[in-house]
Amino acid sequence: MINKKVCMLGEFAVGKTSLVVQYVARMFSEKYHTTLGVRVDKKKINVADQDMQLILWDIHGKDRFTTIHETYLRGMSGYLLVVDGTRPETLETARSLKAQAEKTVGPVPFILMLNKIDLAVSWAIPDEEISSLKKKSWPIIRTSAKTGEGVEEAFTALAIQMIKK
Amino acid sequence: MNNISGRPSDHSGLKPGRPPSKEAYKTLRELIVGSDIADIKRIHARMKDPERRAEDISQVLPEAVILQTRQDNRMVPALRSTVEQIIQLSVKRDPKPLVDALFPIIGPAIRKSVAEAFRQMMQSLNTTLEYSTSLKGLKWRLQALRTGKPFAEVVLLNTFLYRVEQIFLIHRETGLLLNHAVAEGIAVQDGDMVSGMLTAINDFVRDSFTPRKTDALTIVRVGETTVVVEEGPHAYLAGVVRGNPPVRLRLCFQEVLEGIHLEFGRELIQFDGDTAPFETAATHLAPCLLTQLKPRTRKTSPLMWIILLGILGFSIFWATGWIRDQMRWSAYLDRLRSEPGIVITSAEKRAGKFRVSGLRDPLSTDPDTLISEAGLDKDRVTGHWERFYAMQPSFILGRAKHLTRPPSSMTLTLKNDILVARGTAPITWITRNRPILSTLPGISSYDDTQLVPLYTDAMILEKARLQLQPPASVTLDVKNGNLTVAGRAPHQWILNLKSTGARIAGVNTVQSEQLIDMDKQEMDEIGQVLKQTAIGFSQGITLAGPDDTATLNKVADLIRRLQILAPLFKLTPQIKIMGHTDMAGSDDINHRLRQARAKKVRSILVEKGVSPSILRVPDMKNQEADYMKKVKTILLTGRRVTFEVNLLQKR
Repeated sequence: MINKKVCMLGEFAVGKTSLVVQYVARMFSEKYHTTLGVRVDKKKINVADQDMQLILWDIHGKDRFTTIHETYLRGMSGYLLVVDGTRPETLETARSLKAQAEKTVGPVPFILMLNKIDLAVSWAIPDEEISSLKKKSWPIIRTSAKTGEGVEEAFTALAIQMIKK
Repeated sequence: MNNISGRPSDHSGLKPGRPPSKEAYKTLRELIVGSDIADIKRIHARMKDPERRAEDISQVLPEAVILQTRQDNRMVPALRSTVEQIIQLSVKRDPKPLVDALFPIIGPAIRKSVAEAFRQMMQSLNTTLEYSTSLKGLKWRLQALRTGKPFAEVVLLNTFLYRVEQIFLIHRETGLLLNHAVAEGIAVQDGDMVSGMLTAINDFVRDSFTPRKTDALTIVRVGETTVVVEEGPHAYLAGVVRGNPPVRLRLCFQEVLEGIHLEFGRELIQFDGDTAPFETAATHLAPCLLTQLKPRTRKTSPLMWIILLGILGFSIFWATGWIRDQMRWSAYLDRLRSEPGIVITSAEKRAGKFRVSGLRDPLSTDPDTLISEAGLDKDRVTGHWERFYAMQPSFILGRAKHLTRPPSSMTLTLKNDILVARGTAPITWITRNRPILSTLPGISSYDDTQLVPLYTDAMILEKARLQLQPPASVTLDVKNGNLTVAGRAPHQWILNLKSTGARIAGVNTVQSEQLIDMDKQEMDEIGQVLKQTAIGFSQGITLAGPDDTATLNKVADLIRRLQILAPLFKLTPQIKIMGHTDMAGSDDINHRLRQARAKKVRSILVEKGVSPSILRVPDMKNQEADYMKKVKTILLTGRRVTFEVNLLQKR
């Protein structure tokens, strides 16, 4: 069995934990729980005829006052950058987190999850912004932890990338 | 060499300012190394020749392996993968040699494995049983109910000083689980998540609280559970321990980590998430699943004391009863053994009941009566007795008495196997029991000659009748053995009675006072009749008339009868025939006439068969006057003949 450590990175309240819960347990709760430290979860999948186990490190959200412990990132095979589509500033945090991750573990596969697409009315990230990121070859998947849309796809995409690497 | 070449030496003997020639070096080498040059060359050649090197190493390889194995265990992990590959290759090419090699051990190995599994099951069952029924067990069940923990966990908590429940081998960098060892009967959490969280916590603690990044979390304690963490360069071990982890656990972890790093060093460095290479690491982890049971503290509760005392009291009570029963039982058996006519063949005690079997003479003491005497409960003793005849003299005598019921007037004794009867006994008893006693087992003969038989009056009477043949005129009577004879009987019969009467069996005395002798009476009557008889004469010697002839015939009959009777009494009759005359005539004539008349009667009597010897005719000359005086009142006439009877003793 191949185990891969995958970290969920993003600003707080972008929906990292909800995405993990949706992915692992197919559940969603409107209640918000802030994650302190790390929450570890796992998911067994089969990608390209390969059994695989994703050990999901749901790391607490980053903000101006807190930093991510680098040690949490060590040994990860890939990560998911989570951005709240209704809060444009979270994209900035994602950028800085990506930089931190690359500094710590080098260039490992990642997926940018543009979360909360169910909240289309409040969507605040302009499409140009997204297009520019795409131009930089950032893999971007729009997700909704609430509806589950794009969640499985995002994790699977990351898994495929990790296998290819 | 560069130094040598770079720095000219004053002592080299070479000219300064010029580089030394090859020759010079050679000379110098020879000076320094001298004769060793050849050796060095040879060593060089040897080192370069792989064949020779292999040869050299082959010489020391076995010793080297032995030496290394003694020093530490590095050889085993070093050779392990090679050996495994060899085995795999061997199996792939031809599995038969390996199958053949394993064949002798595979059976015992399976048996051992099964036995071990059973042992563990039994141990677990024992513990569960022990604690599920005891007071302690109840207490723990309450504890389990109160705390909501499973009972098994509560038992573990209370019985183990410590127990290493799980060991996680975790890749240090990724926090991914490489292997996981779990003790028997432990509920397993998800190892992957646990190892992830542990790593996260470790990272968090290290990052947050320690300035040095080399420091690490070594222990996490939550309630009864301690997580002991031992780090290695690429992997670390986390052991979940119930209770207080011992010091040697850390040593064990260190040794295991060393071994794992040695064996899986490359795999750890190149780890990319594939845990397959670490599957064999479980064998390293298993020895660290240590367990130490709590020493049992024997703090006995008061209840236990009471129970113990109760048991002790009961035991003493029971033992006392048991000993008492045993003593009584053996006393009873001794008593039975000493009892004549009883032979014990077997005696046993089973399930609290006593059982004795043997032989018993019917005359011996009843064993049941001895049970109460011995103090035993009759219901608990069962006796099985076969009848037999004891041959002790007392039993032979007893049996004889039991069979014949002898009267108290007699005794039975046994001497030299001869049974002797003495005293008196009814004849019926004697005759009835003679055959019984003569054939009694255990005696050679029966002697009842000294036994006097007793008869009943009726029997005596019967016997008397038979023996005496009494005439009809005689009555016999017996009372208390006394025979009374009454009536009239012939003299001869009376004589016989007198001679034999007392000899009749059972007759004590014979009383015959009331017995009349018929013959004597007749004899006396004849005497009387004759005395009063007178034969009348007319004139002379002529009988007076036919009556007188008849009377004379009768007299003749009487005298003949008397002749028969008197001898019976040893008497001889003497009949005096006396002639009488009337007053007329002269005395002389009368005298002659008297004589003639008497003689006349005499001759007639003789004619009639009377013995002449008993007939006497006395001279009536002188006696007549006296006689006349006597008879004149009776006889009116004097012409007659009278008789006088005398019975004389026979000489």
